[in-house]
Amino acid sequence: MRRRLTFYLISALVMFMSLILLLLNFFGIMNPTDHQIMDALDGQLSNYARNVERDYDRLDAYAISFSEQMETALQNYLSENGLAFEELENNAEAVTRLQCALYDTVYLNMQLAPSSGAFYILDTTVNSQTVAPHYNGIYLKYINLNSDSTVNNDFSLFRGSFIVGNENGLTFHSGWQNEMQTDFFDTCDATFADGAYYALSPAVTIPETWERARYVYVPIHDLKGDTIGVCGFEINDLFFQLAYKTEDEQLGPVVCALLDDRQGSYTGQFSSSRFNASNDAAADFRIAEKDDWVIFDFGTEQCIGKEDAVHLGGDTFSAAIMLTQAQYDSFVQQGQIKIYALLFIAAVFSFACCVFMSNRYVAPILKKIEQIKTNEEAGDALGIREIDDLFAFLEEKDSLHEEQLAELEKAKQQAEQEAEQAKAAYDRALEEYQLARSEIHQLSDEKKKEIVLEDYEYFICNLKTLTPTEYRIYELYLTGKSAKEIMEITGTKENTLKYHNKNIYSKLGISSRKQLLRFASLKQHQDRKGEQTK
Amino acid sequence: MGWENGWDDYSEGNMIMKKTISILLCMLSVTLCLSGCVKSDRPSSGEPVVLTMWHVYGSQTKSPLNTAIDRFNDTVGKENGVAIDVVSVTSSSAIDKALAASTNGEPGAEKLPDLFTAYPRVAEIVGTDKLLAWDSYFTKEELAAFHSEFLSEGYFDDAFLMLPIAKSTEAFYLNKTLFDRFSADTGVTVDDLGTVDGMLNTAKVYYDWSGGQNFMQINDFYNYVYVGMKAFGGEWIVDGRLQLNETFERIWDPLAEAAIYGGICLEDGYAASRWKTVEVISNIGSTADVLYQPHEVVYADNTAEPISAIALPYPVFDEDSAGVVYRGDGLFAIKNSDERKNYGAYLFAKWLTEAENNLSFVTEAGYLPVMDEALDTLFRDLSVVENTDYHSLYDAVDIMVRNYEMYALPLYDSASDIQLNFEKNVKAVLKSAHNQYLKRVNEGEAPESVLHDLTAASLRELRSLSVQ
Repeated sequence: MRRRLTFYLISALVMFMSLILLLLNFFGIMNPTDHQIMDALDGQLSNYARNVERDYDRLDAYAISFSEQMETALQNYLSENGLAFEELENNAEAVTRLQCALYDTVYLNMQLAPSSGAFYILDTTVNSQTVAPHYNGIYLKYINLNSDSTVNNDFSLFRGSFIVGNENGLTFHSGWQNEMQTDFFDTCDATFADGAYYALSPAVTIPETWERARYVYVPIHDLKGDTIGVCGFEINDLFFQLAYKTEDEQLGPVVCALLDDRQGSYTGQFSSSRFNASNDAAADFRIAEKDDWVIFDFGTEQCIGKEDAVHLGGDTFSAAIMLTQAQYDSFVQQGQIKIYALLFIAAVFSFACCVFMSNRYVAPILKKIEQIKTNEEAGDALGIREIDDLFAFLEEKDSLHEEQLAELEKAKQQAEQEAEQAKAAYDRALEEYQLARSEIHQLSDEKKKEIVLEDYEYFICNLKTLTPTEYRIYELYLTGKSAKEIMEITGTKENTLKYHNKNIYSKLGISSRKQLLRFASLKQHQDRKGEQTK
Repeated sequence: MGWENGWDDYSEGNMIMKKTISILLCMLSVTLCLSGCVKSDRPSSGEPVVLTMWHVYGSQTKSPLNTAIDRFNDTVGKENGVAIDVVSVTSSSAIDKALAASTNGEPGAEKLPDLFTAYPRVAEIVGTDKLLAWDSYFTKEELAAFHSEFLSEGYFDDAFLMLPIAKSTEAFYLNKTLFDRFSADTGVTVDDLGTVDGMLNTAKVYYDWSGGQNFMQINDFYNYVYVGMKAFGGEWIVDGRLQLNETFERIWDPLAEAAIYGGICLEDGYAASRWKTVEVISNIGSTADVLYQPHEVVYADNTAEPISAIALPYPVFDEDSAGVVYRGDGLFAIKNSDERKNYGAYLFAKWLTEAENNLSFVTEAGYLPVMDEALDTLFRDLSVVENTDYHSLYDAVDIMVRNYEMYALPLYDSASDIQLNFEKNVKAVLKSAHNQYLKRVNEGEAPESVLHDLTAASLRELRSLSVQ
């Protein structure tokens, strides 16, 4: 019973708690799904930021090695051909042969480094008369990327002499130019002045293409230590997508981004092509903080996520993980609906338990009590041991009481019978008494007639002359005691008794016991009459 | 609560219990529906799906399909909870390789994308059972709006697995700026390029005029021969074998002569890059190559010169039977266990092939639309082609559509390998013959005689290579 009651109370408690939690969730006071999403994104962001720093550091190592190889190959070429670096300017033949000599180095490093392209640029040109300054070098780009593993991928010549391209059987990029225009040299000295190992450029549109890319680059020095060129690797949007596409166990695909802060507006690379700009104009967007979230506002779409600073190449960038607002809302909604459903089911189930308990256990008890009250037949057992025991006990008690009642009833009847019998006997005794009295009265009256009045008066007056012992014997004669009995009672001998008798007779003026009894009876009658009239 | 009255009859308590259970079950069902335990088959903005895609419609300079996809993602995609994520823009052969690697589970292979564009041959590579049947989603009315000839390539047995989204044909591209200089000196005109004979003769003249430069490149010799065989009443492929017969000889001899003499580029690679460096000033290639056409040429001294390029109809082998191939890969979708993705693929395909959207996309990429309505619109008013650089191309296509026989390349076992081998053999044979020609002429032999010998020898060699 205790267990059942406990269960009943727990059910009721669960129901109320469920309703309260439902209300809290409905008004957004409790939102566990939001926290779950946040935890998942925090975890992803931590991993992603770590991976980005590791990957770019590794790429830097490749770039440094690339630069060292370039410096060696360049110096070898210059010394073998008896040229100074400055003599390469406007010397198409020498520069072309230099490119042929350096091509293998570029190709090899592109194959080694995880990137979408490799390049070197020297501060020299085949034609210094062009309006805009051009710089000579080789820039190879992978053509077909469908994974971040670029081994044996086809590639094209994006910048470099067509002779080099033809000699090596290269495909020419549709945006191919002989030389390149760049601002690397404008900022190179400042970039590496403070000891940065490598520089990471912001995401920029590759000239004459729809692609955007970042560049990891390091300086190429001459023997004097002056910067005469840069070399490095390209990370285009597609490679970035392939390298950092991420799927969370709970959330599904999430978007990773590496962002550049351009004085309040942001641009960058994303692991989803939907957010990478496909046009020439870079797609700037804004970031705002809301509660513990970061909101990425792309204009036509918003995303919600987390971001953290990462230090790459001496600059600070922003690593971000995000979901589209629609994804976030969908997760929260699904989570909330599940919570609602769970709590609602719990509440309804608890309510059903309460109803069940009432129906199963309380109502039969009440019905049973009613039966007992109206004295109906007991019916089936309730199945609740304690209650059934109680009712059995009560029934047993009831039976005992009924038995007792029956016995009492019987005793009562018997007593009544006895009372009636006693009353009858009493009535008979009374009747006999009355008769006896009447007889005594008669007798008394008769005897009274037989009694001489002077003798009676002499008797009455001389009673008081009896001694105590004589009077006691006189009374014993009145009670009907025999002489023998009187001797036993008083402890006297026969002669003593005879002496007393003689005295009694003499004093009272009587001659016999009969006369004594007659006078005594008459006296008693008169005494009684006198009490009645009082 | 009136228990004393309410529970007199124990069966009434049972009825209340049953009602409670019924209400509970109803609430549970409603709750489960709301909670999404019963999932819909359709994507929604609340539960979006992301479909990955590989495609070929783009150059390194621009990607009209990416632009179209961006538009879809921002409009219909957003409304219906479908987002297309372009993972790769590459070439059809690269996609073939990647699909084969994915299907075979090769180390390092990428996961199969949800959508990809490819030629019909990939259906066997991937497996037709893995591909989504478009006719399970497109209604009969929707399919009837397509140009019927374009649909036929998409059927594999009775399953419609490849949806046409754009078709291309071939044209003759010409660097008009440099050709005008050549024309002024030699008297050769653009009209001479209207026939195959005229074109090949022009190549030889240019070779002489330019001091040994190639005039043109033919991107697909296989297609060139197919059109020629059709023009002369022959069949190029019989029972999966190339017919290098007498009809073929009529096509081969003038071609070989021009190539051996000089003037036809026999290197691998696309013509567009050779345009840049003035290695060629013309080529026969797909209308989709217009995307790659450079607007300037660059010389070795790094000076650049802007050029004007035009497109001309495919030269005819016989003026009475002009013909050209049409081709183009189609859109495949991988059948997904998540029905929402399958439906999302259909939504995207339907949007892309709707007349207005399809026209906008294809005319940015040098393709033909696939709906009759869009084709009518295009050829009724070429101003729908927004890029004026493409107007001459679509003028040429208009002429061909009206006057040429359009041939679909046949699909047969190992067609792709046979085509690749043929291209390789032709170039190898003719390159070798050209080198021999130069050597023998330099050694003093009579050019015409050498030319004749080498032309015949090249045919023999080609035939022997084709048998292997």
